[in-house]
Parts: sequence; C-alpha cells; structure tokens
Amino acid sequence: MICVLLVDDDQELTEMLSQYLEREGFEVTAVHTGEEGEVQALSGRYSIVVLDVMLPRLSGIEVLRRIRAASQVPVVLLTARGDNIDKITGLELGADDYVPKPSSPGELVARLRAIMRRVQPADQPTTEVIRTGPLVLWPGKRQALWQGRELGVTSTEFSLLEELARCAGQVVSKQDLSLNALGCPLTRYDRRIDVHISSIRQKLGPRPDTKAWIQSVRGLGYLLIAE
Amino acid sequence: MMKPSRLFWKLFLAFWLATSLTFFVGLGMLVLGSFKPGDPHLEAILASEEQLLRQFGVESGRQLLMVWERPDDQAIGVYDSAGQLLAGSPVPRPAYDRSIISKDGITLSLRSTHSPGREGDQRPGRLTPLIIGTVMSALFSGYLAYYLAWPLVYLRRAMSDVAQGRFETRVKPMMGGRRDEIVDLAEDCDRMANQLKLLVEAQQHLLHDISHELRSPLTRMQAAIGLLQQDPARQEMVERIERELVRMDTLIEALLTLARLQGRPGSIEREPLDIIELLTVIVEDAQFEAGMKGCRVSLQTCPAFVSRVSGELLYRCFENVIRNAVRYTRPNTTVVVLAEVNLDASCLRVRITDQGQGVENERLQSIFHPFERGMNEASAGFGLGLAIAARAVEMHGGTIVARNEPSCGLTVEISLPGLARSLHEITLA
Repeated sequence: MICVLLVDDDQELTEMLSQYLEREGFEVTAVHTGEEGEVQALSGRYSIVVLDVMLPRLSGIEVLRRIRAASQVPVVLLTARGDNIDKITGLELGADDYVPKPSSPGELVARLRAIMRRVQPADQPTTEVIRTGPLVLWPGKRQALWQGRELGVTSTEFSLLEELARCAGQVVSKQDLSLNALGCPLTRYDRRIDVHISSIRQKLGPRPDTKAWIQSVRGLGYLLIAE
Repeated sequence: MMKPSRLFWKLFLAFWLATSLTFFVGLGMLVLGSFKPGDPHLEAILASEEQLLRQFGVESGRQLLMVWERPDDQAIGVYDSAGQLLAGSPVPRPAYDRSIISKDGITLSLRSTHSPGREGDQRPGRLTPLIIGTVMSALFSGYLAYYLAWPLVYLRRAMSDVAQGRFETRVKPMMGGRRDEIVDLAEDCDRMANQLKLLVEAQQHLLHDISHELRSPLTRMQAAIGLLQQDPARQEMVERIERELVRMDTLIEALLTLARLQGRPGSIEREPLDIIELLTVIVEDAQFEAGMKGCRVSLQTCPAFVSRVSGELLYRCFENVIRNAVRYTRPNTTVVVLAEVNLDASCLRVRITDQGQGVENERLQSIFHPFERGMNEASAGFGLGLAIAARAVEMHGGTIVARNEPSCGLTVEISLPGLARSLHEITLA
C-alpha cells in the first residue's frame, strides 16, 4: 500500500481527493497547513507527498525547502496553472514533479504512479550495479555513490542519472529521458528535464577540466561523460 | 492669483541682476574711460597759459605760472626759439611741446613735463562696453539656463522610466540641496511613481487572488467529476458540482459589484431612503441565519434617518457586515446592531458588534481589502463582503472602521452623512 500525504488548505478538495485516491488503492492522510505538512512529511510514514504551493502563512515552496533539507521523500507539487515561477522554483528545490491546478484527479494519480514506479522498481534485481567513472549506482536500492561518497539525489534525479549512466558516453534524447525517467512523454515548453539535470550537475560539481559531467547536446539531449 | 514662488524669485533676481550688472558695467566703462588718462587741471592751466601768452604776452604768462601751485612732479615752462627759459620752471624732458606766437610777435614754445592727455586718444574703444556687456549677459544666461535645465533632464528621464513601468525610479535625490518648484515637481514625480507602483501591485495581487479564487471551485469540480467517473452511482457529486457552480457565480457577481464600486461617487444612482427601515429588513433576514446557531440579532435604533443613497449598495453593505457578525459570533450569543443619529441629524452612526474572537489588531484595517480572510476559514467566503461594504460606504461619503471590543468580539462602525451633506456632495459632484 502506498501512503500519500496530501497537504492542501482546501478541506473540501482534500476530502474528495482522498476518496478518489483511496479508491485507486492509495492510503491517504490529509493535513491543511504547511507546518503540519512539514512535520508529517518528515515522519517517514509516507512514500510520497502531494503539496499545494498556495498555502496560507507557510507557503508550499517553503515547506518543500524544509522537507528537502532533511529528506529525499518524493514530492509532487500542486501549482496554479500558468504560474511558471512556482514550477521552476519547485523543481529546482527538488520537487519530483508538479501537477497544475485545476486538473483531473486522474492526472494526479498517473503522476503519482509514475513516480512510485521509479522509486519502487518491481522486477529489478537488487544486486544490479551500474558503474561509470566515479559514479556507482544501485538501482535496486536507489542508492548512488559519487567519488566514494553518498550522493543525495531525489528519486527523479536518481532515475535521470540512471538513464544517463546506462548509456554513459552516448547522447540520450530528452524524449527518452522523459519517457523512461519521468514516466511521461515530453511536451512542448516542458522544462522539467532541464531543471532536474541542472540540479544534478550542481550536485556532481565540475570535472577537473572545469567542464560539467553532464553535457547538453543542443537539439539532441544530454550526455554523461564516461571516464 | 498664485503667490510668487521660490522659482519666481530666483528667475526674477537672476534676470534683474544680469541686466542691471550689464548696464552698470557698461556705464562704468564709459565713465572711467572719459576721465582716466587725462589731467583736467593741467589741461586748464596749459589752455589759460596759452591764452595769456597770445593775448597779453610773456609777462602775464609768467605771472600765471608763478601763482600756479604746481605739484612737485609737474613743471611748465615757456621757452623762446633759442631754447631760453622765459617763464615758469625748467622742463628737461617735455612730454608736451606747443609753439605759440605771442602778442609781441615772438615765437614761443610752451612745454610741460606731463601731457594734458587725450593727445593720442587713449580712450578705450567704443565697442568695449558692448563686448563686456554681451559676455556678461552670456555668462549669466548660460548659468541660468543650465540651472533651470539640468533638473528637467533628470525629471524627463524619470518620467520616461515611469512610462516604461520602472516605478522604483527616484529623482529627488538627484536634486541635491536645492529647494524650489522644480524640486517640488521632482518630489511629486517620485510620489506618483510610488503610488503607481502600489496601484499596479495591488491590481496584480487582486488578479492573482481572483484567479486563485476561481480556480479553487474548478479544482473541486474536477475532483467531483473524477469521483463520479470512478463510481457513477455517487449522485451526490452532481450536487457538489452544482454547489461549486453557484459559488463561482456568487464570486463573479461579487467581483462585478466591487468593480462597479471602483468608479466615482457621482456614478451611482441615489434615491431618498430611510436607512433605519433598510436596517430593520436586513436584521429580520439575518435573524433566521442566526437562529440556526442559537444566536440572536438585536436592533436598537432611532426613529428614522432619510438620506439620498443607493439603496442596493447600502443593502449589500449592511447585509455583508451583519451576516459577517452572525457568522463569527459564538453560538448562543447576541449580535447587537445599534443605530444612532448625532445631535444635528447630520450623521448616522451604525455599530455592529459580535461576540466572536475579534481579529488581530494588525488586521483591523486589512480586513476591508479584497480577499482578505482570517486563517482557517478557507471555505467561509471569498473575503469580498467587507471590501464591498467599505467601498459602498466610501461612495456615500461615509467612513467604516473596525475595532476589537475590550471584552471580546469585533465592532464595525459605519458613519453615513445625512440628507443635507449628501445633497451638498451631489451638487458638488
């Protein structure tokens, strides 16, 4: 059973969404303030957090910042449609995905399932290891070592890194990255991949020759330099 | 007629100073030029001496030179053609030498150590005063023009910044310690920029709030539709969708009312109306709602208060405030509506007091802003009611304030001008 934490100040909405998600096989807890959301999200009881950006007092973005300071639990943001700033800031702060409001609960469920598929790979041998250069990935455990140290990446970032590492030294198209790592086809003006990649780049740091480990190939996609 | 201003005096003094200075300099040059190199005393003596020699001969010439009290450094002498000194003192190096035929028919030579002047016409050129005047006035005008023009350059730049939407531009600090109307204008420009900034921000904020408020019922409708699709048997979801539709409709209507209230006070239609009667009707309506939570609305009022008002707007205004009070008062308490007219019947004061929690002191003013709601009351309303009430009262030339009661609860006090004042305002508008 997947435990979902729903953080939204609209009680009527959370009530209906809870009913919907429960019928889809999720277990849902709803809270209505940012403070409560932060505490619950960090309790470790939830597999995924759905967080509204427009919360009174403590905004969703701030809650996300606080969650990310302590935990890599997957977070899906509910943003106002057309508000690009929230989307980009959210992704930069380590949100795994966002769902614009208003959109159908079916859309939310699809996004949640896509993320959960990544986080809990059903039929992957836990012993599989991907090594390329200073990077070691255990897809089964969702664990990443970088230059011998634990690399703190969100589950979405891990999936992207995994895709790139599997084809290290080759260009992976954004379309493939979107399908395999985010679980949905690439749409126009979709900046999610770019934002996630730039976040991974920051975590990897520069190469000795000052170039980035992940190179963007204009019009084609991204490439992880293999050593 | 406007009082002569600082700028007026600056300009006046500058022009006056420039013209009079030019005038005086020119005049000074002329006067000085006519006196400077020549010596009128010496000139007179020489002229008299010459006259005497011509008319009376050497003897009288000698007598004149003897009585002349000559300065130490000057000397005048009369010589004959052989160079013999006949009268006066010896002149070793004559600066002036004039030959004269005396009465006796002798050729004489009148010599002086100093020239009586103006011989070579050493007077300054006649153009000099003109040139100096021109240069002086050019300098003055140049300075004056610069002094007036440079702040205008900054002002113009600031204005064009504002026109392009950069409202944070400030021009006053550029003006230094100067004080006149141009600086006042700069200050006004800064104030305007700031006001525009606040207005635009308020508008954007409002738009943001409106879109959020419209989105919330849409999101709930989508959730309800999702549930209905999951299980077509859940017919209560249709009612839910309907409820959200009504809510959206109410919101849009409230927004339109608010938009209508942004106009000028003269733009509303007024009719003579007894406000007390209006209050009675509203309180009766609110009684039902209050009864559902065991509350009561008590109306304490004066006989009648007729004013020229928009009945519809004032109805909404009092209804919003009274229903708000009923919503927030604790169960089984009384909401008091107290209406009183002041002594000369020029003003009606209505106090609506509930027995709820009141609001935080820092929010006492902002509760009249659109979409301003208390915490934990997301679905209690849109936060437009008090905004509409406040605008409606303002349109009628009245005031609305909120304050917390010392014991508990919130009082909203509305003051409305009476017939006399409102009529006066209408004629003004």
